Amino acid sequence: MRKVIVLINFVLIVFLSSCSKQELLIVTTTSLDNSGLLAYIIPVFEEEYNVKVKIVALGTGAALELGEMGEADILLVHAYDSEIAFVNAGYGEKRSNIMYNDFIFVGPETLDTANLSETLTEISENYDFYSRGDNSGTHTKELSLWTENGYDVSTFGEWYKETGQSMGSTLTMTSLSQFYTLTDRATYLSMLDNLDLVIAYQNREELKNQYGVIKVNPELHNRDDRVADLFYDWIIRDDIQDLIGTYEGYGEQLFFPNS
Amino acid sequence: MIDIKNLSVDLKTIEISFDDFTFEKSKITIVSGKNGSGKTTLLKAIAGLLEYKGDLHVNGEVTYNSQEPVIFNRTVYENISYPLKIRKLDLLEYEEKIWDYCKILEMDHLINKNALKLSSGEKMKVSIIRSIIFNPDIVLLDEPTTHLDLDSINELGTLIRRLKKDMTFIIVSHNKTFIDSLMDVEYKIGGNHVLS
Amino acid sequence: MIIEGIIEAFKLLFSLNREIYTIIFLSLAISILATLTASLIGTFFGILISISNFKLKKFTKKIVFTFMGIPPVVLGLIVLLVITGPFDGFNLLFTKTAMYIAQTLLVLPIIIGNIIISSEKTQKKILETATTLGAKKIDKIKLLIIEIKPFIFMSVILGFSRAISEVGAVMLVGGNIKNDTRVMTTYIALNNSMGEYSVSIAMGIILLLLAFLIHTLVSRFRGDFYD
Repeated sequence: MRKVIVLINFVLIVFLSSCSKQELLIVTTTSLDNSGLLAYIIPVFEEEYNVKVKIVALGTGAALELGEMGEADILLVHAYDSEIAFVNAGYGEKRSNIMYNDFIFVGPETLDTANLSETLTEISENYDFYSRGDNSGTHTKELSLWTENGYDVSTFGEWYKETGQSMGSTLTMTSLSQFYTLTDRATYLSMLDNLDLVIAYQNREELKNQYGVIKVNPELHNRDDRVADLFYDWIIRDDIQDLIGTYEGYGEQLFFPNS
Repeated sequence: MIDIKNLSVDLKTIEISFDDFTFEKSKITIVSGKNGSGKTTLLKAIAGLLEYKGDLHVNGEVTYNSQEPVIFNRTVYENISYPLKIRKLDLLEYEEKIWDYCKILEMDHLINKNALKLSSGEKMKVSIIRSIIFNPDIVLLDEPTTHLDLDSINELGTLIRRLKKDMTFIIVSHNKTFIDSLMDVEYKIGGNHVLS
Repeated sequence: MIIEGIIEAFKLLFSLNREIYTIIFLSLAISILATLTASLIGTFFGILISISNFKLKKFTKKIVFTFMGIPPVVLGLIVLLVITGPFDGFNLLFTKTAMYIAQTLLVLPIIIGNIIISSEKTQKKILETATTLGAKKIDKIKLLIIEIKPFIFMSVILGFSRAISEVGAVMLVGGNIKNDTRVMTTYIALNNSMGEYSVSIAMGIILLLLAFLIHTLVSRFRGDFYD
């Protein structure tokens, strides 16, 4: 009898301790998830605080929507204006930069252009272009590039097509159609072997891809938010920022920390 | 009209052989025999629906009416006129005959009903009229009295007697009164079966 | 969220938004055309296979039944490989024609398979009876088509439902290009990825309403006596 009680106690303890292991729900964008960075750094966080992290990868729009619904603790996204609006609307408690990489124009051939403005002119006059058209971080960035350079996307003709699909699918379509498109560098590099595309134009200053961390307003979900606080402080900490800088993929440094 | 000699049919599990026989014109032949002796098989072979060994000479157009009537999803009239239609015959010329046969079998009030919605006995009558409407030379009726009530059986007998001058009937039936009122010749299947 | 979706659905329907109507129209047009094409070819081959006796009949049937359940995205991939490979010259990639071809191929086995199944069930007796009534081969085929008409309608409806609701094939070969190859299902997928769930639900409701409407219309025109 005593044995049985001991056994039940043991099972209960194991069960409760596994329950008590706190969980953190991070909602991020597919491009960041695909880059492999999270798989590189998240285990360090899990180890340090004995926390279980769950990652859900979605388009930026869907990620922010989930945040609004309180179905996330932390958001890792790359759509600066939307992020600021999200926090200002009270959905996010706080936001910080974490790192950046860059967007690149890809296409069948390298464009012999000196700057962004020339590149946009060249594409709009001579080539076909696939836009993501899905309110993603990349799409938002692309729209702002046109607007800031004096173009009105709504007046574009047949050459400008919206795919409404993920970066991966859009890159595949771009390759098959031999059009041009704007992509984040990490996704492009991860698919390089299957694409018949080269970098058409790149400039890290003009085409910065800023990633941010947002702590979702805990009032939206009534969950314990201490782990979210831990993660927020952890990812902008100096040693973790250095760790991000050491992550390499496809032979290059993929992210530049700037918290 | 029909000659059979050394006729046998291989039904995979059993091989049925038939005694030599000549079915004569304008005679009503009743095929008798125990259950499973091969009565239906004989009719089907004569109708050309089964492969057989031996000699089988059929002199004239033959039609087979199965014991479970197969009715097309359309009206009684359209069912009955189907054989006329595929022969591209003028339906108007047959109008009177269709009504006549239907009246004899008391089907005239159902002529515009969908035949699939009729009772089993009514379906049998539709199927019988359909198989004789185009004046075939030989009519094979497999258990035509199943599902029929007494009156209908008598009416069917009347119709068959009226037609026997121009048609050769070969009938499988277990209904004693029906057989007695019609039989000219009997063909008995002996059960001379060889298991294969 | 669902109530929001229902409200959104009516807003969308009555918004007179040209983009929405184009998407609905294109969905219907491609799926109806594909179903009609597949029905014509499928009925013919379904009946042909079921009434003929040939050496590879069992094998052919197995192939047809297997393809009845092919995931649309796999079929889309096959079409994609064909139109970018041997048929590259026709410039079919990311066009409505490619979507039409993919959906036709998707629906075809469903029609053929269902017709084989229903025809084999009823055909033996019907064909035997027709034979004894003096029908020639062409008469028999005509009779069989008429007799299994309710089943043909049923397979057409099944085929259409598959076409209008699939997303994998049209996404892959059509590309979901705005104002060009975007249909209801790919539009829903897009809105899901953007977190616009109420628009998705709205489009889903419209899709259901359309399916309901078409089934009602079709069953009214069936004209069979099996009700």
